[in-house]
Amino acid sequence: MENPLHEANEQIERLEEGPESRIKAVITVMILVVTMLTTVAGVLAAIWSARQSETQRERQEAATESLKAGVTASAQQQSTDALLDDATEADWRRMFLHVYSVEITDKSMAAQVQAQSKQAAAVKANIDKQLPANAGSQSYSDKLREDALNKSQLAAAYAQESAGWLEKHNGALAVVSMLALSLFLLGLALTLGNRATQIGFTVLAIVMTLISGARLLQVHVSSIAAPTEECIALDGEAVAAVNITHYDIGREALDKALAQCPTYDNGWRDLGSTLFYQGVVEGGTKAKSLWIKAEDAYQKAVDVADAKSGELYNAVGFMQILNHHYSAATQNLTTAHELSPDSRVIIGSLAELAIAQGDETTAFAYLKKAALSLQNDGPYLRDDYFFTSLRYDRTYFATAGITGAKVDEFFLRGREVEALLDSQDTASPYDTHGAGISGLVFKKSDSELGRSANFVTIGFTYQGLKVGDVISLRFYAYNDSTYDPTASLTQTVQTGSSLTGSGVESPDTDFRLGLTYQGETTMEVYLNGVSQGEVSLTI
Amino acid sequence: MSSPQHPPTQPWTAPPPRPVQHAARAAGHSRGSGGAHEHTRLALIIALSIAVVSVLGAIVGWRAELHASKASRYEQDAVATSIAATQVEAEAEAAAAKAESKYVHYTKLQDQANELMPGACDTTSRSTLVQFDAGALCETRVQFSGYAISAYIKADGNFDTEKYANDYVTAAREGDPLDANVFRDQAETERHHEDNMLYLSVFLVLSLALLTLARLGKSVPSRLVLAIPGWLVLVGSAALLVAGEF
Repeated sequence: MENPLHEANEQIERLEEGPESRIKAVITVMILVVTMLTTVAGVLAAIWSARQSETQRERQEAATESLKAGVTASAQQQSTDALLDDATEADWRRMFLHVYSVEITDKSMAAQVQAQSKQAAAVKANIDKQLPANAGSQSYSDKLREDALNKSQLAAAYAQESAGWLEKHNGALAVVSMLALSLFLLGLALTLGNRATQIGFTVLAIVMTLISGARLLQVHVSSIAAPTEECIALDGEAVAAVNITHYDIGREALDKALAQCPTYDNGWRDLGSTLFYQGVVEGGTKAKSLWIKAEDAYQKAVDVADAKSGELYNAVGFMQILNHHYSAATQNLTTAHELSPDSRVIIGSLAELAIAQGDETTAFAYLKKAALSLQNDGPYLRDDYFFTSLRYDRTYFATAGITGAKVDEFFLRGREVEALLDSQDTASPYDTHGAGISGLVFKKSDSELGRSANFVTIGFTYQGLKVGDVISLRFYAYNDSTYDPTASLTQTVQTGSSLTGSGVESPDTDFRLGLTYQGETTMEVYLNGVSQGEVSLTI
Repeated sequence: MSSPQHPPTQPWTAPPPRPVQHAARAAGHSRGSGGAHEHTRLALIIALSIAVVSVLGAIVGWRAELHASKASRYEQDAVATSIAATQVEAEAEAAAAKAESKYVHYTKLQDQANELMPGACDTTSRSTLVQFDAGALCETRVQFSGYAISAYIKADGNFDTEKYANDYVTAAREGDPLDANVFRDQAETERHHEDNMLYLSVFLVLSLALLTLARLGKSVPSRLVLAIPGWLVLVGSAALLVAGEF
């Protein structure tokens, strides 16, 4: 007789080998796997959350340090500027008193005035002792701001890193929620009697678990695109080197930084600027090859930038104009304009793109649009920023071989708009009613005072001037780009003025000017916003 | 002490295994084949609905994560922009202070000259030491005239540092985006989308609960009572997902 226990055991084994039992085993294993994966995802989420908090704290510290450094730099700059102004005042007083002492015939009075002049000289010498080395130079200001700038970039990098960790944390949480659904399906499958549904739920749960696992792995291995402290420091070194025209040193530092941090958008942008300005300095064919590289660097900056700004697209678009890549420039500048519709610089670039392609109508329309919007802004924005940029661009266009009558006319119109906005707050030229200014003279002053003070003097011939006409004398240094507000002047013809009608303004009569900048300065003369010519002088 | 084990009086035979998957069908046969078929079809539809809800839940979770990440990215961009903007504001203040210093020298020199000799800067006739001193001050004043621009002089005659600094910041903005609000607005939009996804997930959980309970129901009507609201919530959620995201 067969042992009934043995038979029962065989029955159980048969049942366990059955398909229903196998699916339950699969489900059980899956539940185990999902539970383990959920735990891993949870742990990773917690770790990434901690990292996020840590980088947030570092970001806050760097931001605070940056602000502190900025405030310190500003305070130092302000006290240095005040001292520089005091020194300038003492120096000019010394010089004027000296000139008076030479001009005075009364010997005793001359001696007293000369003594005053010496006192002023002593004051200046005393102030000079207090001034740091190179106090008046741009490199001094840049050096002061370097620490604040680096710290602010570091804070931005920490912010980027923090966002990266938060993204990972969010990714892990999404995986956990997917795994929870998967676990639910598996649990439901266990309770079901219908085998087809059971298999369906199990398969779906397996698929979801696989996707979750793959996603968790992807989130885990993905790198956070934030520059390191070393990359930021190298970028700072590069900027400092470029500011004192050591372009090769700057490029070397940037190459190192970008090799370490290939997704560092500021680094790529600074490399673009370095290559561009090096091209400006080198000129000729070398400029063209450097500008091609600059375009690539700017393009890379756009590609890797997290926040793609209109200004960044403008940088690459402008380089493309200079490199004659008009189709790409059109695309990038259109995007730039869409992203920053109010930016006058981008509108200016669109005008330049149009004129580079010979489309005067579009170019003037854009120029007018920019000019009209500048009407409400102060002289700083107009003279020290927008029109300065436009004037520089004229030089870059010449280097790039974008020349011709239309291009000259465009930049001349830009200059007239600049003069008009400053003198009459309008963007449209006035009627000159047949009046004109000619015979421009711009030379070193030949008077005693002029020679001592290194003054310049001007002269011109005028015809048909009426009361209310506006004469603008505007002086520009550094290749006709940097406005000299001290030397420049605007004069409106008044009733009874000697400028009414026609006549000659001789040199060394009314106008004795001290130029702010050394080297070549150009005097541009406008009558009611219409250019009357220009003349240059090197001092 | 436990009782000793005795062999069973009759040999025990296990009943033949009844195929589980046919149990319902067998039970259905006893009640009528039409009802059973309906019951099975409904169970299958509910099971499929549960699967659909699960997949939708995963999609909603993924979309919520995506929006949350974008929002945090924009928030950090806003922070970085704020830091850069603060730097520029500090620079603007320094530049405005520099311009103000020149204007202050300009007015101070005129005041000093007028103290020495009223109307000193309107005459060229000088013969005394005081007059020469006043003349030197007037001539020196011209060297600080660059910032004596009416646009930056307030009604009380003081230099408008605020306006100058604003112009400086506006110019800096032309070259670099410094408006953190743009990023904050974008972050806000993404957070709004993320919230929508989270609300949607609540509805999907509700649908899942209703469908699961319906799956456990014993009769067709009892299953339908729970399944219908479950489907309604599911369809509504799916519609909201498509409308909001795609």
